[in-house]
Amino acid sequence: MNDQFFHDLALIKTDPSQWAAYQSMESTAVIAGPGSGKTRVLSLKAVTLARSTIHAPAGLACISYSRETVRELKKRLKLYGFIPGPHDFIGTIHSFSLLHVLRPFGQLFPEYGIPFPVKIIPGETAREIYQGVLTELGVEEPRDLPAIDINRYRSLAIQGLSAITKPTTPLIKKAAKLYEERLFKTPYLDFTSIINISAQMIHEQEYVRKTLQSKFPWLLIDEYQDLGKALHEMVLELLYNAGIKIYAVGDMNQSIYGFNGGYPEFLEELLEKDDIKGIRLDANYRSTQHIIDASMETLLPVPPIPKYVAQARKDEAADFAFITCEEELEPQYDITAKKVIPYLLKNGLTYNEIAVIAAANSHVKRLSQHLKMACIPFYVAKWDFENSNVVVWLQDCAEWCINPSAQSFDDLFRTWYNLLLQHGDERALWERIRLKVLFYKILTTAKAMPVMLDWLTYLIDELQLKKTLKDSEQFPNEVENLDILTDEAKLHNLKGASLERFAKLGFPDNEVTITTRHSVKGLEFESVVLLGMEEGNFPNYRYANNSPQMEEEQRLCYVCVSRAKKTCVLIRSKFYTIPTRRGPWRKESQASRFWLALHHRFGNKKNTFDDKDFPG
Amino acid sequence: MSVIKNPYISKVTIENFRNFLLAEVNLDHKQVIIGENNVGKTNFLRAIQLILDQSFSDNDRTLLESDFHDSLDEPMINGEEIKIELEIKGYEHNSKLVAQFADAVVATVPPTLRLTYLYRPTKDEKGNILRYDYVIFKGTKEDFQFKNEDRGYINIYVIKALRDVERELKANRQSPLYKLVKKYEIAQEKLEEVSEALKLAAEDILELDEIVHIRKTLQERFTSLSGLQKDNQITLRTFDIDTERLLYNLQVYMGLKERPVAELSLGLANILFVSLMLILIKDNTVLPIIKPEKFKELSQLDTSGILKELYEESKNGNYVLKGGHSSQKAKVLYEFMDEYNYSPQSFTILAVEEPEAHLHPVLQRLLYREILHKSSTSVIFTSHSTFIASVAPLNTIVHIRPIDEASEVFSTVEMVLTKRERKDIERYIDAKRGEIYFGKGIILTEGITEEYIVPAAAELLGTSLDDYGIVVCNINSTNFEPYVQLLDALSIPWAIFTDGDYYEIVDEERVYHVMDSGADSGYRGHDHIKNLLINLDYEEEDDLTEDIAEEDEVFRGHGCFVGLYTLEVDMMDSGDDDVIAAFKTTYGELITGGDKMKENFETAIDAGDYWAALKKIEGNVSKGRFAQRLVSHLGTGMIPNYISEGIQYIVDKVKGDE
Repeated sequence: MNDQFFHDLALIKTDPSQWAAYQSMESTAVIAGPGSGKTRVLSLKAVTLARSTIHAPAGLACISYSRETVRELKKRLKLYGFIPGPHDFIGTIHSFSLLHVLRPFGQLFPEYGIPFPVKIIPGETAREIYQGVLTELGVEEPRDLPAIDINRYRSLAIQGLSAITKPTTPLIKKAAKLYEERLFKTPYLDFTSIINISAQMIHEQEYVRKTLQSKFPWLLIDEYQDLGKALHEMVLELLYNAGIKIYAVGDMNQSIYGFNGGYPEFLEELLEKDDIKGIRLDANYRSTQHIIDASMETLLPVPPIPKYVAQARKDEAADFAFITCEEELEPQYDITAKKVIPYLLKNGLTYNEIAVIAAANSHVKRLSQHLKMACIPFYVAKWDFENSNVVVWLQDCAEWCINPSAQSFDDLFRTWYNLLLQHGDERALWERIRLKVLFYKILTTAKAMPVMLDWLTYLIDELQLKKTLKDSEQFPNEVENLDILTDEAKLHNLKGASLERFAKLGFPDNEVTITTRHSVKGLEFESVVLLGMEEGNFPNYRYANNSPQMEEEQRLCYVCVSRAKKTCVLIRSKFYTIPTRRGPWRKESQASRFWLALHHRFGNKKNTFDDKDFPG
Repeated sequence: MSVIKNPYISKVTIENFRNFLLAEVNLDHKQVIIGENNVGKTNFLRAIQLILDQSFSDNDRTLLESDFHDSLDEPMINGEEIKIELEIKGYEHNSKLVAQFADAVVATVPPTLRLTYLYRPTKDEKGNILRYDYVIFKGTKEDFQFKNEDRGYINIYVIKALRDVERELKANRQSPLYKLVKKYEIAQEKLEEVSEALKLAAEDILELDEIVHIRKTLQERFTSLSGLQKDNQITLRTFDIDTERLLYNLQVYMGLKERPVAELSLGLANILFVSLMLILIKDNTVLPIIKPEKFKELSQLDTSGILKELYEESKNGNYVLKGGHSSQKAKVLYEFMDEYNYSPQSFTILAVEEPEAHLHPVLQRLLYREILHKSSTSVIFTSHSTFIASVAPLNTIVHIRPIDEASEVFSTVEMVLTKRERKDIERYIDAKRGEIYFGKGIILTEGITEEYIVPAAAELLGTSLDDYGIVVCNINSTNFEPYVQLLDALSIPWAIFTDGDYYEIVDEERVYHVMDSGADSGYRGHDHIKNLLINLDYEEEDDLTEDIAEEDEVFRGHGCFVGLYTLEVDMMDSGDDDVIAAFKTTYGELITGGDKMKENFETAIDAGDYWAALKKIEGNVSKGRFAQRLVSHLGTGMIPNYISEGIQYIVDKVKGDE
C-alpha cells in the first residue's frame, strides 16, 4: 500500500456505490457500467484483502478473462505496491484450473484421465479431430457444423448447480460427444477440457474444494460476463459448498463473447442468489451524458435499463456525425483516412484519442493500408500472432533494452531459464551464471538495434529460441507464432517498426487505434468512428429479431458506442455488390437499426453528410 | 601479480539502526574503522552483514524493537523504518557480476550497484500496522529482490574479535584450509591413490601382535554384548582414509618443529587464520592450476596464446600459472578466463574486528601493511590499535563518533591533499603511531615546547587533557592545513596553538626575533592562520579586518590561538617574577658549563633581551629538554593567555559533544 493506493482510495470514497463495493466483506457481485471505474475498485479491494484479510499460507486469487486483462490487472496492483507472492494467484481461468486443480489433483483422482504432464493440444491435432468428427457424421461443409459451435456446446455442457441451459441441435450435441471421445484418446487437453474437468472435479471432490478454500478464502473475478459456464459452475460450487467468498465484477450489457460460451445469464443468475450482495456502479466517469444515452439507445429495448449518470463530463454535449458513402466499404476507409480523422484532429484531438472500429480483421487490414497512404500513424489492437507468454516475455526484454529500470533483468532471465528447463534444452544444465552471462551479453548487444525486426531476429537466433521451442508440449504453436511475429515485423504492420514500438505493443503511442468491435472492449477514446453501419452487416442479416445473437449484436454496439467519451462518427454505404449464384448483385443497403436509433435521437441536418459534402 | 581489485563497498547509509540515526559515509577499497568503545563499530559492520553476510539466517535479518535507535519513541508502534543502503563499485571487470547484478545498477559512470535493506511495517488500508517485515532489493525498485543467490557472488565475511581461532582452524568441514583445498577440485583418482597408499603404510602397525590382540579382544567383547546384531566386524585404522575426510584432516603445522595450531600463540594462530581467509576469498577467475583436459579445452579457445605463455606443465601433468608477468598480460589473461572459466565466482569482502587482539605490535604493523597495501581483496578493519592506524593510508580511515545522541560516520576518502602533503601527514602519523586518530579533541602545535608545556598548563588550570581525551599533536611545522583537513574529514574537534612570530619592517625587509619597538610590524603567525582559514573556506578574504585584535577574535572563534612572539619569549615577556625565576632555575639546572654561562643568561633576561636568552637555551640546552624541565617549575601565572583560552576552547568543544 503506497501513496497511489491511498490517493485512489480517497477518490472512490466520494462515490457511494464504489465505496460500498470496496467495503463489502460478503460475497458480492459488482455490476459495473462503462466508465464506472471497476478496475480501480477491484484492484483496491484485492490489495486490501491481500494485506488485511488473507494471511499466508493462504493467498489472493484473481481471475480475469484474457492474458491482456490479467496483465492490466497485475499492472494496477503493482501500481498500488502489491507484488504477488508465491501464495497468490493472478491469471486466467485456464491457468487457475491448470495450476490449482489439474496439476495438484490430477494424479490423486485418476478417474478423470488427466494426462501427465498436461499438454495442450497442437492446432493441427485439434483440426484432425474436428475433421474426423465431420467425416464420421457425414457433414461435408465445415460451415454446416463449425468447430466453434462444437466447442461452445462443449463448454455449455458442464452440469452443476446452475439452472441455465442453452438450446442446441442434436447434430451439435452428437458432434461434441464424438469430439470429446476423440480428444480423450489423445495425450492432450484443450482449453475447454481444462476448465470443464476442473469444474467437474471441484463439483465432485470435496477435498479439492477444501484445499481451494484453504488456499484462497476469497476468489475475485473480473469480466464475469465473458467467462463461460464452467467458471460459473466453479464459482457456485465454491460459494455454496466450500465457503469461499466470491467477489465478481462484470456487466451483463457488455457480454459479447457468446460464440465462446460467455453469456450474460450467468452473471444474472449469480446476482439473483441470496448469498450474493449485488452492487451497481452507475456513475460514468468517462463519457458525456449524450454518449451514455446513445449507447443505451442501441441496447433498446432490453430491460432492466440501468440509469447511468455522467460524472466527469456531465455538462458537455456530444458530437455525432452520420456519413453515408456511395458504394462498398472502400469509400468508408477512404473518407476515414482523408476527411474524418483530419477533421477530428482539426477539432483539437490527438491521434491517440481516436479509434476506428471495423467489423473484421480483414477490414482492419484494408483500413490500415488507407491510413498508411494518408500518413496517419496507427495502432492495431489485434494482431495475427498470439500474444503468448513467449511474445509477452520478448516484449519485456525489449523494454529492458530500452529502459533497464522498467523490467527486472533477473525476472527476464528466470523466464528464459525456465523455458530451457521445461523444454529439456541442454543449456539448462550449464552453470547458471554462465547462462546468465550469455543472456546478458545477448540482451546488451541487442540494445544497439533500434529496429524491431533486427532485434527480434537477433534475439531469436542468438537465444536459439526456435530450437528450444521446437515440438514444445507446453507451447505447441509457439514456433509458428514466432514466425508470424517475425513476418509482421518484416512485411506487415510492424514493418520498419522501432524496438520501442514492439516494447509498447499494448499501448498506442500517439497513434490512431484501429480495431475490431470485439477487441475494443475495455478501452476508451475521446472519439470513435464506426464503419459498416448497414442493416444486414451490423447487425448480421442471419440473426433473427429477439434471438440471443441479435441481443448480443446490440450489446456489441453498446460496447462500441460506450467507448467514446464525447464524439461518435457512424459511416455506412448505400450499395453493396454481393456475389450470388446468378452473378454479382448490386444491392441497396439500408442504414443499420443502430444508426436509425441514434439518428432518430441525435441526428439533424448539420451532422448528417454524404461523403462528398463532409467538410475537409 | 593480481592487478585487478575485487569489488568494494563505496558507500554506506544507515537510518535508525542501533547507534545510528542517519549516518552516511563514502568508503574505499580498504578501510580502517576507528572510534571509541560502544560507539557502533560492530553495529556498522552488522548493518552491512544484514545485507551481505551469507551465514545470516532469516531470523538474523529480522530485527527487533531494540534494534531501532534509542531516541525513537515506540518505533514499531509509530511505524518507523530501518534502512541500510550499500553501494558497490569496482565490479565491472567481471562479466559474471555484471550479469548477476544487472538489476542493481544505479549509475554507469563509474559503474555502481545499490543494495537496500528495509525493515518496515506492513499496514492495512486504515493505516494500522499489521506486522514488520524486511526486504532486501537491488537498485531502486523494491520488486527487484536481492536473494541468497546474489550473496553467492558478493558477500561479506566477518572475523570476530573474540573467537576460538584454534577451534576454527581445527580439522573439519568449516576450516578455511579445507575450503581452500576443496576449491582446487583435486581429482578423485588421485585421492584414492593416496588413500590406498596410506592404508598400506599403516598395515605394519596393524600387524603388530599387541594391536592384533587388542582387536581380537575387542571383537569378542563386542560380539558377546551385541548379541544377534549383524555386521559387527571391528576394524582398526590409524587414519581416516575416506577420501573426503582425508582432505579435512589436512592441518597446518608451524616452525621447524612442526608445532600444531593448538600449541601456537593466539596471535600467530590469528595471523594464520586471516592469511588463509585472504587466500580463500581471492578472485579465482584466473585458475592457478589447470587440469590437462581442461587446459586442452581452453587452449582451443585461446587465440592470443596467453595460456601457453603464462602456464607451465607441472610434474603431475597439470598446468600451473607462472608468476612475475606484466600487469598487461595479467589483464589479458583475466579477460580470457572471465569469458571461459564458467565456475561460479564469489567475491568476499573481508571484515576483521580488532585484529590487534593477542598480536605483538610489530606483527600488527606487518599484517596491516601487507593487507592494506598489497591485497586485492576489499578489507574492512575495526580497530583501537594505534599501530594499524599508523600504517593505514591516509584515505582509508573511517571514524565513528557520537554527535548528540547518535553516532555518525566520517571518512577521509574524499579528502583532497597534494601528494607531498599526504606523504608528510602519513609519515607524521606513522612516527607518532597514529595518536591523532584517537583523540576526542586535538591540539595542533608547531613545536616541541608546546608539546610539553600545554598538557602541564592544562593540568595547572584544573582541566587535565587526559581526562577529556584531548591529545596534543606537535607537527613540527606551521603547515597546519592538511592536518585540519584530516581532522575535519573525521569530524574530530581541533585547536591550533601557534606562535605569533612578530616582525618589524626595516628597510622594507621583515626582521624577526625583535621585541616590539613601536615600528611598522606584523605577525607571521596571523598570516598563516589567515591563509588557512581562507583556503579551507572558513572565512572570506574580504571579511577579515586589518586590526590585529579583531582578527585574533575571529581566529579564536575558529579554534586558532596565536601568540605574540614565540612561546618561551611570550612567557618571559609576561614580566612575571615567577616566570623569570623559573627560567633562570631551569637553565641553571640544565647547563653543564660554568657559572659564567648562567650569569650571561640571567643578564640577558634581566635586560629584557628575551631573544638572546632563547638563543642561549637553544644553543646550550635545546628547546625540548628545557621545556621538559621547565614544566616542573610551571605556575598558573606563567601561562600565556592564548594557551589558557585555547585549552578552555578545546575542552568546551569536547564536552559539547558528550
